[in-house]
Amino acid sequence: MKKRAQAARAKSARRPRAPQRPCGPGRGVAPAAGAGAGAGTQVVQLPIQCTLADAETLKLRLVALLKSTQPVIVDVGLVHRIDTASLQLLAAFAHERRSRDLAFGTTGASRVFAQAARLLGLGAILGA
Amino acid sequence: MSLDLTQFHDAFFQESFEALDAMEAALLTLDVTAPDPEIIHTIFRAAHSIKGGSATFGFSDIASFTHSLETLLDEVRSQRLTVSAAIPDLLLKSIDVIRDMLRAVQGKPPVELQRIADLQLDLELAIAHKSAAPAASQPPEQSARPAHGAAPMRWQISFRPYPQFFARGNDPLRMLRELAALGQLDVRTDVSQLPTLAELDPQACHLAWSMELTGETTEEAIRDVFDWAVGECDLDIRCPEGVSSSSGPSAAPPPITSVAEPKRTDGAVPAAEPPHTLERTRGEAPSLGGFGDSGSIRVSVEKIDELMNAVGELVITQAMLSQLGCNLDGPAAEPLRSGLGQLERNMRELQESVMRVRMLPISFVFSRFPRMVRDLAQRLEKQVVLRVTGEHTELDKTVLEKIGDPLVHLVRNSIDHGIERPAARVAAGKPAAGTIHLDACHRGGNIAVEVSDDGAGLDRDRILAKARERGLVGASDTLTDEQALELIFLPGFSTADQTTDISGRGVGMDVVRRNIKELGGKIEVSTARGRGSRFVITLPLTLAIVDGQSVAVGRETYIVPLTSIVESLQLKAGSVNRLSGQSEVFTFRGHYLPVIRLHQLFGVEPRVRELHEGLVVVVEGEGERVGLFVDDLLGQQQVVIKSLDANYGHVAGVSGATILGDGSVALILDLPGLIRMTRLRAAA
Repeated sequence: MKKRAQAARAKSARRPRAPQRPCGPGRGVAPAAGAGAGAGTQVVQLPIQCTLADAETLKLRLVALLKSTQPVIVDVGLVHRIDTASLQLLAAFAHERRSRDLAFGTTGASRVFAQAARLLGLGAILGA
Repeated sequence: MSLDLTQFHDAFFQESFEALDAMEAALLTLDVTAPDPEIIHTIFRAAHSIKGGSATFGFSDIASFTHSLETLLDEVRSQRLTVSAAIPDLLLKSIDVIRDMLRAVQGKPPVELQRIADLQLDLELAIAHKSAAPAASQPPEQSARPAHGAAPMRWQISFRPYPQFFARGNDPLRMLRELAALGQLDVRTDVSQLPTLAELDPQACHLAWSMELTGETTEEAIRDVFDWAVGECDLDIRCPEGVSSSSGPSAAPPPITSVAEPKRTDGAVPAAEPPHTLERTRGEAPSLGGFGDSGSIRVSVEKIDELMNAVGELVITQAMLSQLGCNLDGPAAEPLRSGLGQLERNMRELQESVMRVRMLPISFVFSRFPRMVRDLAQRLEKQVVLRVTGEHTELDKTVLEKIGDPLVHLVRNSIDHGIERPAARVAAGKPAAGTIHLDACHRGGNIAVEVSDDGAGLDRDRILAKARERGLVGASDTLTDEQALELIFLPGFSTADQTTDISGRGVGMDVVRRNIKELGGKIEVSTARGRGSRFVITLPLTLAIVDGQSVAVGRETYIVPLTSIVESLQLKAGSVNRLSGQSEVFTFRGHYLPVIRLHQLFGVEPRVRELHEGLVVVVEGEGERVGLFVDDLLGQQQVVIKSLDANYGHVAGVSGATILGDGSVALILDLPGLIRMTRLRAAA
């Protein structure tokens, strides 16, 4: 019984206490610090999972940066899963930034992101 | 006007539970060493169906969880994830969770959030740790799948999802990925409907695609990709020309991957796409998947019961007409009787047809056992093979619903007490894996369901010892094998040394027998030490009609179910003894049986009062035999049961009523209830 309780505690320790929410409001936006990002560049870190459930949060993050005069770079390096809804948001964001002559780019190597963007015919607009 | 989706909830739940059952059944047949793609596909389709439905009806937690499950299955399906022994376990647990989540939505106890989160994390981890080489590592433009045997063709595909496409659980990315697997795919994306970011509804799809697919594939294969999007998109598939494998450069498709101008908020909407082939109109109810649409329709049980009732009324009317016809004279009488005879035959056919509608294969009950046996065997560290035969045997839905629990009990007992551990079996010269056999077949007007195993069998000596220990049997009493086995059906009887949550509390076999008796059936047990046990349940095919013996008491007619009758006899004068000045008993095959005077019980004026002037019907109920004193026996007939509880109210000792040919009402006796009633009166 004791062993079972310990195992349960160990299991619960590695578990999150609530259903997964990879995207949190306000998370993942940071002034640029590395890899090709100049001073003042805003970097949007995409989470491991970008799906419909998280699309509203992603939209809020992108809208907040839409009119930023600083260059915006989306870091896709962590993306492990992405769906059309998220790519659609990124495409709308990218297109609108460019139409306002505001800089947009992506960084990070994610095979999943690149394949998904190309497959949906959004590779050019997202620079994937 | 918005569509009230709650009207589809019941259908969604029903189909989702069926989909889960289908997933579970498919999983249990999955060979992890060589997974059958068709089985994986079946499981995937079921998961996708539930996800789509959940998203449609706003059950976002279920949709989210099922999405993770579906993603895992998609990885397996596309061979990016190798199926290990852990995967079926994970999938089975996921099925359990989804089932519980659905039940929670239906108002049953809620599912612990942590349990969902834990399992969803396990699914995500399994996806993240996929070990197989990435099958889609090549860019889609270069990916090609050989051949369905057809010549290479160049297909033009126009695909325009409706805005609610995402919300219905669909993802165009998955479809395009599947298309890319059929040949060389060139994609042109139409972003002309894409609003500004601020106006963009993230849940709505604003993109559309024109594609050119070149490969040795068929229109059917392409349509299969969009199978789940029927009614959710405009889809046009055309093949302007075939492309031979030796086609020159001019025939090669131009590689196009470009983005059109997005729609401005103040701008005009660009020209529409090419003509669409609308497969289903937008206004239609959401598709809930393909389950149950194979040449059959769903009809509620209430409607069938109404039909059954109407047929019952017709049977009664026909019986009345027949009775009137028999009493008629004159030239028209003979043709009338002939017509009535024909009516009776037609009625019987109609009645049988309607009865068949209520019949379901017993596989509905049997299907729960593979999973149960697997889980229990794993838990008890036993090896058990489940053999199922006769699963297509049909019986009435009501009987089917009530037979499930007794069968579960018998199978659990078999695994827990019957089947030995592998080492013990091998030592006894048996195969390490025990076998439990579930069988069903028709026997006369009944159905026999059998649960047998090749385990240790019932230990007669141990049963007797326990019974003596508990004072159920006297120390000097000698019991036949049959009598000793009957002891296991006594309330609270158990030979288990330890009580587990599986069995051993002794609250089982008596309940099993009582449930079966309530269905008008019986259970018999036979066993051979070291060779196994066999339980045979005999049940009536239906509860809507009963074979009854009509008996007369005064001016009333009562129906005694034939299955309860042991014998009918006329007592000799003076063969009845009185106990305590009240109870009357008579000797029947060496036992004293009490007499129940029906006229006293129901307050009816009888035609005869002396026991030797009337008849005694010996019946069995609650494990006891009693003699029912009646004026006369009238005849045997099938009667349609009408519920008194529903139409009038509960009457002790009566299980229902029926209408006889002359239009009068006869009560159908509930013998266990009758015996309980008499016992209470005697005790009072």
